[in-house]
Amino acid sequence: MLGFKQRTTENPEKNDKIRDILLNNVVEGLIVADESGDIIYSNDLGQAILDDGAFGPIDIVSQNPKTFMFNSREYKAQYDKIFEGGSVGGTIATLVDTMELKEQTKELSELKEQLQRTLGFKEAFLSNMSHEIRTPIHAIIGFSEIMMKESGDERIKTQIEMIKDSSYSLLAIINDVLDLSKIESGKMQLVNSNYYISYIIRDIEATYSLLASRKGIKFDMHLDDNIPSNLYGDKIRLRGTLLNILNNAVKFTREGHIDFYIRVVDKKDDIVTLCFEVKDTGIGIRREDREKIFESFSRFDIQNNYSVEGRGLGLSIAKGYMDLMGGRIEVDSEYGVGSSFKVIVDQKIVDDSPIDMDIVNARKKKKGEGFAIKGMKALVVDDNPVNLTVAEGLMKTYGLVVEKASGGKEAISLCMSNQYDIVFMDQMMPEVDGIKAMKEIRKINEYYGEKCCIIVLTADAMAGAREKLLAEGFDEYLSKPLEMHRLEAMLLKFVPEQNIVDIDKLNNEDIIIEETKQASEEKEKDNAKDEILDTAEKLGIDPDALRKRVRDCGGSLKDYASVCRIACKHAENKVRKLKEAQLSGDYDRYTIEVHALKSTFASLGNTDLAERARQQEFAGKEGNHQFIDEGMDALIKDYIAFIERIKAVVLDIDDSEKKAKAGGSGEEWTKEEIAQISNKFLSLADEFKFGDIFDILDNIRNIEKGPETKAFFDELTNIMNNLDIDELKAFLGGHVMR
Amino acid sequence: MLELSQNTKKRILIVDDDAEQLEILRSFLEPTYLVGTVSHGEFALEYIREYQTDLILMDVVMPQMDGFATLRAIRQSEKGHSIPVIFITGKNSRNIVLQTINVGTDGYLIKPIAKDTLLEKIRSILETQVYIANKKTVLSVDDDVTYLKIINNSLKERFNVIMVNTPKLGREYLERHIPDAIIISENFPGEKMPTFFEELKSEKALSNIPVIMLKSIGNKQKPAEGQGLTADKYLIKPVSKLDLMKAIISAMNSK
Repeated sequence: MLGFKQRTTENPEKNDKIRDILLNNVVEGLIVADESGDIIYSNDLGQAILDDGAFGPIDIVSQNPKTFMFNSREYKAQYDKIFEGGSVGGTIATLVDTMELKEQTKELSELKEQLQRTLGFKEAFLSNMSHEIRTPIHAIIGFSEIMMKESGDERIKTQIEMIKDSSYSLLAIINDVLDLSKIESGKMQLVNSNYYISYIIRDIEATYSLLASRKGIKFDMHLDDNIPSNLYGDKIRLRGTLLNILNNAVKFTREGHIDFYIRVVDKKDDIVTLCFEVKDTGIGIRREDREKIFESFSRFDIQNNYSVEGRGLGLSIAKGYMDLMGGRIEVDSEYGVGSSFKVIVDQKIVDDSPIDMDIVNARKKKKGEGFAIKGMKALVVDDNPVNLTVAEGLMKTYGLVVEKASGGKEAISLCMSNQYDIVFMDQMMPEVDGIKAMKEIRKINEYYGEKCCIIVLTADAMAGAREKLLAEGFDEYLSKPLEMHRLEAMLLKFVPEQNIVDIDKLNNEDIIIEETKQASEEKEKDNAKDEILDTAEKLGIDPDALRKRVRDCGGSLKDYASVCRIACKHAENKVRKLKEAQLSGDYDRYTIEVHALKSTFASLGNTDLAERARQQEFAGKEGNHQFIDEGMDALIKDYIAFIERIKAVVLDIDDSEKKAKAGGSGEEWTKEEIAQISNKFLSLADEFKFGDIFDILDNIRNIEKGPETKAFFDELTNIMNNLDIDELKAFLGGHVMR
Repeated sequence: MLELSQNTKKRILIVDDDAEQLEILRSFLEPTYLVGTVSHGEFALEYIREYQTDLILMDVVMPQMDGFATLRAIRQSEKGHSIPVIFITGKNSRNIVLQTINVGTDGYLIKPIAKDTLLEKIRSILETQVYIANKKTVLSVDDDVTYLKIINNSLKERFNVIMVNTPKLGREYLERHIPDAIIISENFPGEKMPTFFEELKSEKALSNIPVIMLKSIGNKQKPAEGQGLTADKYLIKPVSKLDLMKAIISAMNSK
């Protein structure tokens, strides 16, 4: 019989009972057969199956791995041999409910799916959230840069710098967390490309010698002289690893020095094994902590390190990168003395010639204090309004005239009616994305097809992305967030020499003028074109001429109105002079007057009357008095009519003003008051500040006054309209208090 | 001397004892400007001591310390002697005008104040302020006073404009002043153009001043080479505000 170890009781009956209970409590059917195939035992289920006939002794003997149905469930037979004293004593057939198994499997796979979905959500969440978080941070950084460039106050600049630094820290945290999550979920992938290691080394040198010196620590680099210059690998992650380790070195070292070594450990075929060592005289790591330093969020020795910033992610990320790259990080440290971190990794060699030490040693060229661009128009396209505003602000500081579009479609239609010198296009936009929009724009005409510089803005930092985008048709690519120095480099690259002005030679004037120009162009757009059309119609002048004059006056109808106001004030006087000249036959005088009138009409946009005035003037110069006689009356009549239309349409002069003009029914001013004003006017006249006098007279016009007072001011106005300063002085002299 | 930063938000202080008026004006001015409100002259003085204020809107009629008294106090204070002040007054009384002349405000507005009128006035004053420290003087010479006023209108925010309509007046000015630029119309009847212009150029002290000549439409030729003196720039009437400014600035820059 079965070697059933009698461990339980001495009572055989009880043992049998226990055995039966046990064997019937398993889910499977059990059948035991001896070497000849005779069934010697079966549990209830097994028995039931045998009775059913779905499974039989022959199956056991032949160890037939059959599946059969019993009780509408599917079963599968599994076999185990029984050994007794070295030979086969029998077989156990285990009949397993496969449906159960299948159900369990199904359950498991559903659970797995759920799990994957959850993970998927987590990732999507993280990456979306990070986008949601990054965007406003980019805005903070962008505006900080703009504010810094434009603030003159050193104290404010410093504070803004701190805002900017904090924002970068925030961004770094988000990036770290994202990286770590990617690493931990196995989703991080290396992005391999050819790269020159000398640039990484140069940047490290520039950055860390500065950071170290700020802390009073010495920083030295020691490079082997046979480091291959051009390698193939993930330069971003390699640099990231080194930066994380170097950052730690700086953070945890209070005094002394940090040494950075790059050694060539081995070169085989086209693979180089490099060892990057960062050795510091910092606080060190306790032996027992050494294993844990690579764990995320772990920070040690908090008492001594409480002032050190950081979230403890750097080394975990570095290790993650190294694992992916097939490299490793070796740590050696003595608490209180210092640490040494070695990053050992293989990279493929593209060019074995040794690195160019000149590149390493050249500090980044000190950016010129500033330069400005003139005469260039840029279009910025981004579906995010904050990004648009930041980009616009950045570019305006360089003197670019900037227009915005919030989508691909808008950009295309703007390009159809405008010629932009440079276009900045966001890649990710709904409906019409950057690539589509760019392609459509390139089709517009030869300029856009061949000459216009279109730069893509993308947050996609994957290698190959740049090549892919350039292949699509972009001229260059800028990564987001848009940083001033990168934008500057791009602008220097694409803006032709003649448009760049050295800020020293440039007065702020030109930029201000461009802004004024832009502001007035904007104002022009704001003016419903209908308004100008409408006004032109009412005035009886050519709408295009009016449009041009409005623009020339400063851009808005208000600016034009102030010119009209001036013209109207003088109209009466002018008409009188014209008539006088005409009546007295003083054609020379007439010619002079009509010449001035020609300018006035032109300033008002009445090209028709301007032309007629010109003709009269010409006739006058030629001595063609007959022509003048024939046309004079009509001209004067039309002039008066035009002025009336202007008053009604543009100036909207209301009744009260007309009343005031007619008035002279108020209280007379006192002698003292008149004297006061006379004094003021005289001193202004002495300083040639005639404009101020005009302004004050304007203000006075609408104030109530008695008839004498009115006469006084009317006379003054007349004198001023002729700018007869001698007369003015004489006139006022009589009213000044002695 | 005021800062030349074009784009930092300017701060405006409103002084009015009427709380409702304060709120209304604040609503007009925010968020374009940073706005402070006080109800009493004394507080106004405190405020400008505390904050860098770019402009003050002041009600004239206030109890205890009226607008004029407050303005006098402000002008005497360390920070306040050059802050532009706009008065707000209920009616267009001559008292206001006279006081304005005496005390030296930058203008006044009559209640009820329309939002765009207010914004326009403020904008114009603030823009002028930017240039005040270094405002250059442009002598504008034309026989037509209307045209002189138009030019003044275009340029006054940016430059000190001196208008003269006769060579005599022009000479009088030049006897005692040296402008930074001269705009002169080509046709200057009364005396032939070259004479006055020549006069300018022959004066040693004046010969270096940039001259912009405005020619009339229908008369587009520049004087032939070698035919007497040439101006630094030529523009054709009617000139646009922008072209005129650009011409003046670049002419000034190249001297």
